Amino acid sequence: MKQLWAFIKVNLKDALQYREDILLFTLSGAAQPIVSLLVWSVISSSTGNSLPLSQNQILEYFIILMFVKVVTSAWGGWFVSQDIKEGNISKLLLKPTSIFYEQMGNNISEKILKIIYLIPIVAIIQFFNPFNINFSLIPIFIPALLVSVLMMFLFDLTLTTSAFWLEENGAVYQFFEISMFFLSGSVIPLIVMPDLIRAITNYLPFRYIISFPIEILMGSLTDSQIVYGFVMQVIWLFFAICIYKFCWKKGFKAYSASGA
Amino acid sequence: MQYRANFFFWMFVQAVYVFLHIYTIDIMYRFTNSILGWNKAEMLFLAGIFRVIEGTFHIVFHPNVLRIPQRVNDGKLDIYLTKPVNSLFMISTRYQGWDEISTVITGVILVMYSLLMLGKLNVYSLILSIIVCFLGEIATFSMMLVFASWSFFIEKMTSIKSLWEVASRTVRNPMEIYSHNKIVLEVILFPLTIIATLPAQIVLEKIPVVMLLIEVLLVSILFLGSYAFWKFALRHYSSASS
Repeated sequence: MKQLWAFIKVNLKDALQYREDILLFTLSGAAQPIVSLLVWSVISSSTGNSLPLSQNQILEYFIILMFVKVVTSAWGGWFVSQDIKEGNISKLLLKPTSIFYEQMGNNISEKILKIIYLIPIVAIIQFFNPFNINFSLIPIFIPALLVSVLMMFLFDLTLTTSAFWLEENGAVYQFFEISMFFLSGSVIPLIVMPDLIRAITNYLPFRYIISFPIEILMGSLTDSQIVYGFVMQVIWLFFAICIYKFCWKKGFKAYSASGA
Repeated sequence: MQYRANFFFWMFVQAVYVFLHIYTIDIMYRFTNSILGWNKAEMLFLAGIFRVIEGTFHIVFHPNVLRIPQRVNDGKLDIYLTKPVNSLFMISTRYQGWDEISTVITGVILVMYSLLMLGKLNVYSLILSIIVCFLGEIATFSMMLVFASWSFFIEKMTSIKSLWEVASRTVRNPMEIYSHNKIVLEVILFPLTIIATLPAQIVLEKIPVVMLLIEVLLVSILFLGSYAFWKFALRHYSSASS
């Protein structure tokens, strides 16, 4: 814990140095949900009632999505991949700490800054298009979101390990990203998806990273659905932890430091 | 071809991506027949045109223009400035990313397929499509050059990649979606309109074909403007290595 705190402090200083850069990252993260929001509002206004989401719900959905995406996003894996390929990871192996804490520290500190940047964006939208958040649901929303963050973080760092075996692993990331894009509800709310795909997403991890917390906060789930969702989240989190440990263990065995 | 496994997996990923893109459009049109006057085939055409533009950008310019900020940062820009050719030409075309050829191919297929659906698959439409794609490409390049030139003024701009993502996600939809017929927004968003929306409208005969002249004019202005900005920004360059 002390280590983590130290990493957060170091990274926060680093992040503050490049605040414009992080502002741009935040804006770009917010842009996709806003684009989707506009597209779906247009569709909703041209159909009347056949869409299972009202105009207001669409607004709510994408605003919460914006927040959830910023909080859950994980980016460290790509950098760690680079370190693995170039052999820089050897340095880290010698330190009395773990990659997990180092990345976690980086992740948390940048997110703090990103959330601060997000506040004015949400405030502006709230000003032009008022929307309601049901605050009584926040105590259920937060734990779900925390599991999401952890899951995403672990998956990201697990995908990294493909760099131990592949010299170029960009496509692996791309594949995960596309699956996330389509199956997590980040572009199309899962509720408007055809039944078959919705049924599939109930078993895959993606929904539990993005859509599930949003659904909770929008109050669109029944009690039993919430319980089911949490159970699935815990199962996938457990899976994520196992596969993370497994891949890193195997990866280090396969690792031959370049330049050593 | 050095990383063959990655290359073929990349092709596969791209194919999945196109499929999902088409499927997304399909889902949207389950709830309506027309989105702001664009029917499904027209929307697919726009998607196809943009894929060609995006793919070409990824092959020719992405590995170069988007690396300008990094080069400014570490001072490697010097190498380009000292060569006896136009530095912008040099720095914009040095590397190629051939992995993305699949994006262009799938884009072409999408363009042909949507034109077939619209009953407009003929030589005239195809030639016009090639012309507008070329114009859209220059517009895209100019826009990203402006972003890249900012890096001379601010400390670190690795986020230019995410800026490109935003731009590419935004312009693949008809721009009317963002402006809601509000004149202020239309004016602000106009530079983005000339990348894909206007080109698609010209080929689909949604606007008179004379607009092609306007498009050429606007793209030229944008290009010259961005070139001037690049030149201006270059004067602010203080090499990190000397």
